[in-house]
Amino acid sequence: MKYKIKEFLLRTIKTMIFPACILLLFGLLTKGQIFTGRMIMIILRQSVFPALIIMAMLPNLTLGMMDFSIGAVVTMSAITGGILMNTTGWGLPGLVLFSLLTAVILTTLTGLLNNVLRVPTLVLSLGLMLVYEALPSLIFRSTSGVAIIKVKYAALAQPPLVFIVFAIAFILFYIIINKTTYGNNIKALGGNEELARRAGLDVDKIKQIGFTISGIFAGAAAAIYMSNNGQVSPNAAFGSITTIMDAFLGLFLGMFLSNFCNISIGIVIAVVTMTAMTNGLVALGFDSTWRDIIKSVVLFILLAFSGNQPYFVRWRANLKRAEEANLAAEKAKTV
Amino acid sequence: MGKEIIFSAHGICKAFGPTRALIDVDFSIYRGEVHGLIGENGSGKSTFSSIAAGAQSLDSGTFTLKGQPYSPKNMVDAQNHGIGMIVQEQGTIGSISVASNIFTGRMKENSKFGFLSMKQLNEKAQIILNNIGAGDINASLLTSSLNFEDRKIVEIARVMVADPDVLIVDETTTALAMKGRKILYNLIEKFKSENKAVIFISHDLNELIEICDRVTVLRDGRIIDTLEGDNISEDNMRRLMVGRELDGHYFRNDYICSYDDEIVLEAKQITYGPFTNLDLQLHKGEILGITGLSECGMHELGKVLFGIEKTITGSVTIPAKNVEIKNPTIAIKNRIGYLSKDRDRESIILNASIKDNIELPCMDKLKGPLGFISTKSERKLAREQIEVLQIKCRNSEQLLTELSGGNKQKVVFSKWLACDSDVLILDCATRGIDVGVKAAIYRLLEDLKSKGKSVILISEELPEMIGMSDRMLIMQNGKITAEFKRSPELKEEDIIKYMI
Repeated sequence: MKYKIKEFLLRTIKTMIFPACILLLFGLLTKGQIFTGRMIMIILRQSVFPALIIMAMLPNLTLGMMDFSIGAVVTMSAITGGILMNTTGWGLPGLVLFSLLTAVILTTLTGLLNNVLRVPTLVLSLGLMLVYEALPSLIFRSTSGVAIIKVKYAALAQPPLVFIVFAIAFILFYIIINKTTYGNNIKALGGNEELARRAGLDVDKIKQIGFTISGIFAGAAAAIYMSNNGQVSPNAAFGSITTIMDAFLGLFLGMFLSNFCNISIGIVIAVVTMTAMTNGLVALGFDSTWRDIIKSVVLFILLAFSGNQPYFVRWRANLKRAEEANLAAEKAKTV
Repeated sequence: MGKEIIFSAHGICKAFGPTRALIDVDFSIYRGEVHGLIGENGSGKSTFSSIAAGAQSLDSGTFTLKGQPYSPKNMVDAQNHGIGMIVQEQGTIGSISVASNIFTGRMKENSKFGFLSMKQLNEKAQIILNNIGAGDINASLLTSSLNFEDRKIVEIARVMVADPDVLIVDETTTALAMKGRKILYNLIEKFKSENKAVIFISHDLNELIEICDRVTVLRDGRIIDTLEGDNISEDNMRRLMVGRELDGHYFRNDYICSYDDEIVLEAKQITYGPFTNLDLQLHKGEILGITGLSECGMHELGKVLFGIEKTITGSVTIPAKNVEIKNPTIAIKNRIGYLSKDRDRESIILNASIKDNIELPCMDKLKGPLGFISTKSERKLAREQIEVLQIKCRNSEQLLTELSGGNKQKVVFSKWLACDSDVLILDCATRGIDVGVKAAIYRLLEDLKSKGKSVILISEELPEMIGMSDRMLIMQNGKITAEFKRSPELKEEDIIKYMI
């Protein structure tokens, strides 16, 4: 029992040390600005969108597939959700429903093509990104693919609704990853595809479901995106990648944190940290270019540190070992 | 009461393109029997067992299991019917728990409406581990936190989930150290006592003699003979496997400890892993054997001597050149070659051709006057090595994934011979290799010795150590506990007491 408590505390410290340092640093630099109640609420609210994007990307990433088309799926779903909501007059439930449906259809199509064409997911998703980016302009010609919704529908991106959406998505994600046969199967498949195949797992089916599930979270993200922006225009020439850029940084940090805690918890801590950093940089007066550079540098340092951590540990252990060996050699000489 | 056949095969045929891997194979095994299946690499024994276990399909023929026609769709289907197989290099998935590994592909049976109870899964997995005598492995741990040996035991546990009636053990013991072997042997005994059956595939002839009731020999995809009782002898098995009497001797036939005084590789006060301040000298023309139990530190020693792992104290040097071996690049430049115990991961590139593998360490040799690699000389080098080592292949462009274990091993040897290595560090060079290739490797080592080359032979196989080494270092817990010189009087018992 004592050992378990000690281990739990150690893991918590390891999980929290980097986010705590970042928050503390920016807290000091902004003279506490990011720790005001209002700012904390803003940070938490802004964290929901990247967190949902990460949830959309993670099942496929665990299966060893990077789906770059998620940004385009989100934009297309947001536009479709917004326009169909206006057309049907179904309000926010309509926005959520149509965004979810569009995203699930698109990611399911991506999965289907992935299984049928057997080209690398990276290549396929880049190609599909261009197609999905072009779709809004082709389908909604009358608005040139632009969706505009009334200000009152911004409520979905504001507390408390935004946190309710997040809570539902998080619980769903946590259960899928940790408590279901499917979650276990994707971890097995991601660990060793050949072995999992030999063990009787239906690899294509698991991958297909992975894409469909990612659509659920991408759809939720799309509804929040539409609600938050009020107006969403189609992207072109890989422009949709910027939609998911913040999520990428959080994703890497989340994967690093998953060494010490559950990945579901890790991604939440990661996006909150990254959003706090972004807001801290805004408060310090950095423009978006410098913010991106600084965030990327911090992430590189973090990844370099995490990647080389075993070497640091070994180096320290070796120093101790060398000392002991030299002492033993001295002793042997004396004898 | 007559013996009851539990599993039989009738007229099994299997071809891979133009290669006929199995030709009209008839085979049967009784309840309560351990039936050995032997043959050279590429003889068809693994193909037969993998078809029986559902990993591959057959072209023609039929199986009968417990009196019923049997045609498995896949490995899980085979397990559900009562046939399980433990293979040499299947592996485990590090990113999931031990329990999840054991139940991979069987999660549905342990879930309700798609929801898993990890607690229940862990408990069930722990019971399986306890039953096979591996209760010290915690089922809830992440598999990547286990050592190599325990991960192999998890593989055994995975097969036992379906409680098979026929267990196929495909060259597994070579990958296991003492603990794993003990578990496997106990399991085999349990199968016998429960009136079940074991098909046992191994290249270790002594092990086969000790364990098997009958031994069937396969050669070039055909059943050659089935040996019983006193007929199961090393000589008979070797003769039937190879198809002729093995020429002359198997190991060295001299008992002279002969080598030059010149030291070609020296380790002084090196520390790494289990060993501390270890000294070692290798002489010109010497075959230096290093043996002990798997965890004694001998495998780590091989890696340090080649520069893969850095020594914490002391140094590994070539005294004549005053060169310190700090990494594999320096080692290769100074004509040192290394064959890893984990051949497929560390010594060859499986998805590259024979030619690409052979030329990898000797690119400098292939460079023309302007520094470009000549395709002609590439092909020539590969052709020469294929000829010298008699590698069975279509041509030098064939991928290594398509070669048998013995031929892959020959490619590793040819790689180092092609760059004219003066020192070869061989870690378990004959692991999982048939007697024919083994004999060829022993002749090669003799030939290298006669040319003044030096060899460090790391192995757990004592007959090989005694049969080939000029000098032998015995290791226990990272320490050299004894040194023996080549002698006709030297027996395994003399060595074992310094190992344990």
